[in-house]
Amino acid sequence: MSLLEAPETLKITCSTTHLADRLAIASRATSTRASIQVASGIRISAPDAEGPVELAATDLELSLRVPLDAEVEEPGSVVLPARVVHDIVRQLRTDRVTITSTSGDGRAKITSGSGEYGVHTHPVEDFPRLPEIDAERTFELDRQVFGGTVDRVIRAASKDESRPVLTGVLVHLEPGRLTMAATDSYRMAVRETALADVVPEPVEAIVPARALAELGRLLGSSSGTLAVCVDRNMIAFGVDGVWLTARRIEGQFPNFRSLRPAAFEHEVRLPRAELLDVVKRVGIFARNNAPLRLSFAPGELTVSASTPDVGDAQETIPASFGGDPFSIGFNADFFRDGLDVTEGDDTTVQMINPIRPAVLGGSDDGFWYLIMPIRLS
Amino acid sequence: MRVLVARCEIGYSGRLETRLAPGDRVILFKDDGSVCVHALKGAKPINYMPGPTVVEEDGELIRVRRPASGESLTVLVEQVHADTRFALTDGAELERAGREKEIQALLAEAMHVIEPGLRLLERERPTDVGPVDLFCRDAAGLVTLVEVKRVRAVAAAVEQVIRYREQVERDPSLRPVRAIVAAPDFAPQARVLAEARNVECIAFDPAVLRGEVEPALRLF
Repeated sequence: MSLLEAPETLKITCSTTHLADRLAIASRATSTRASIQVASGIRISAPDAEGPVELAATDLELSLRVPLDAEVEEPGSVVLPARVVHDIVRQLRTDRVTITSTSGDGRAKITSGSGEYGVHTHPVEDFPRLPEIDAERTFELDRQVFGGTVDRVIRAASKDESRPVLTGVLVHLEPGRLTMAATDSYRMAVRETALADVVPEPVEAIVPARALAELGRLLGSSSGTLAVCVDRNMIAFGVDGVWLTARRIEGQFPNFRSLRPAAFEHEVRLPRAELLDVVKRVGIFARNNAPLRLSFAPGELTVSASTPDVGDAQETIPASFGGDPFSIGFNADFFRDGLDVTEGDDTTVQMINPIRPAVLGGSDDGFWYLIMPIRLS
Repeated sequence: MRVLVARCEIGYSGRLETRLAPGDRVILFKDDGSVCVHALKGAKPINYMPGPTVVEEDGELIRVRRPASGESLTVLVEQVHADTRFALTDGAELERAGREKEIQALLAEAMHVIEPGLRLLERERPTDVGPVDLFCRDAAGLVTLVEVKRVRAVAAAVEQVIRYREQVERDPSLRPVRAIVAAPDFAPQARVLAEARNVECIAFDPAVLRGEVEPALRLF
C-alpha cells in the first residue's frame, strides 16, 4: 500500500507561519542525544476532531507543551523529527499546511501548495510520558516580577554539570516574597522581591537554570499571565497556554545568606554605566584566566588587565575612595556580569581584602552580587 | 651528528615507494645511524629511517640503507647550502610531568580533593580485571573505588571503574561499592554513561595538585 492509499490516522491543517512559530518553541525542548531518538521528535496530538491540538517535546529533563490552532480532519498522534519538519515548514511560502500521518508505515506527509514532503516518524508509543499539570496546585504569579528576578540571578548559575545543584536556581516563594539565588561557587547572585500574588504555601525548589532561561524566552514573546505548578519532583510554568515543565534538582543548595560577609573594609560608589564600559574594554585583555585588576587610590580607580601574547590595557575613572591604595583582581566576565545585572546609576563595591569576597550592589536593596577575587601575582 | 642543508630530490623504497621532487631540505644524520629529512614546514620529518643504517656517498648521490628492513633512501643533491659535522654529547633523558602514576600518588596524598573524609586503604589494589588505582572508604565507611586519569576521561574510563566495581562487589562483605572517576576533565559521553551507571565524576586541577598554582578562590 502506498503512502497516499494508507488509512490516515492524523490529519490537521493550519496556518504555515503559526505552525513554524509553534515548532520553533517546542523544538527547544527536543533532545540532541542520539541514544534517545524519539526525544529528538515533536509529538503532535489531536485527541478528537473538536479538541485542542498540542505539540509536545522533551529531552527528559525539560518538556514543552505548545497549543496549536489547527483544523482536525482526522484525530490521532504522530511524532515527527523536529529538525527536519521545522526546517521544511519555515521554508514554506504558502499560507496553509497540512500534516497527515498514516498508520503502520512510520511516515508522515507535509503538504503545502503543490509541495509534498514525506518524513519518517518515530513510534508514538515510545514518546516519553510527560508530567501532568495538577490544576488544583496551580497558582498565578506576576510575570514581570518573576521574569525580572530570573534575569538578575541566572547568569551566576554554574554550567559545570559535575555539581548539579549549582546548575539550578534556588526559587523560594513565600507569602509576600520571592527569593532567587544562583551560584557557581565563584560568584553568587541573590534577589529578594516583594510579591503581591497569593502563594498557596511556601515553596522552595532548585530549578534548572536552563528551564528558567527557556521561561525567559517564553515570557519575552508573550503578554499573558504566568501560571506555576509545583510538584514533588517537577515544577511547571504556563504562559499563554504553553506549559514548560522541568525536573526539580535534588540536593542541598548552599546557605547563601551565611556567605555574605557581615562587614567590609572598603565601600566605593562608582558610576555604573561608565565602569561597565571601562570593564568591557579593558576586559578584552583579561584572557586565559588573567585577572581584571582594580587599583584604588585616593579619588580614583584604575582598571587594568594584561594577557601574555595579547597585550595590556588600563583606564582610570574618578572614584569615591579615600583610604590607602589597594588592588584587587576579579574574573573580568564575572565582574562585568555583576555590573550588568545591578540596577541604578551607581554601583557600590564593598570589599574586605584581595582574597575575601566582594559585594556589588545598586539602587535595588533586595539584590546583591557576591564575587570572589582572583589572586593577584 | 651531521647536518646537511641542501636542495635535493629524495626517493624512498621499503614499505612503499615515494618520491620527493627537488626542494630545500634539512637532513640530519644522527650518531646512532638514524636519518631524518625535514622539509621547510611541519614538525615531523618528511622522510626518516631509524638506525642502524649504512650511508654511502657517490658524488651527488647519497644512499641510506637499513639492513634490518631492506628499506633505502636515495638523496640526489642538487645544491649544498651547508654541510657540517658536530661532535655532540647529550646524556639527559626526557622527563615527563603529569604521568598517571604521579597524579595518582599526588591524589593519594590529598584525598580531600576527591572527597572530604575519603580514606585511602590501598593503591593499585589487584582485581581479576586489573588494579584499582585508589581503593578507599568514604566518610560513611563505604568501599569506594577511584580510577585516576591524568587527561580528559572518556567513556572507557567509566567502563573501566564499572568493571572493577563488579569484581569487588562479588565479595558480599564489601557491598555496596561506590565508583569514582577522577580526571582533569570529562568527555560528555563519559558524564552521560557515569550518570546512567551511578559512577561519580570528580574533576581536579593537576597544576593545583602539583602545587604549581594556588587553587582558585571560591565562595564555598
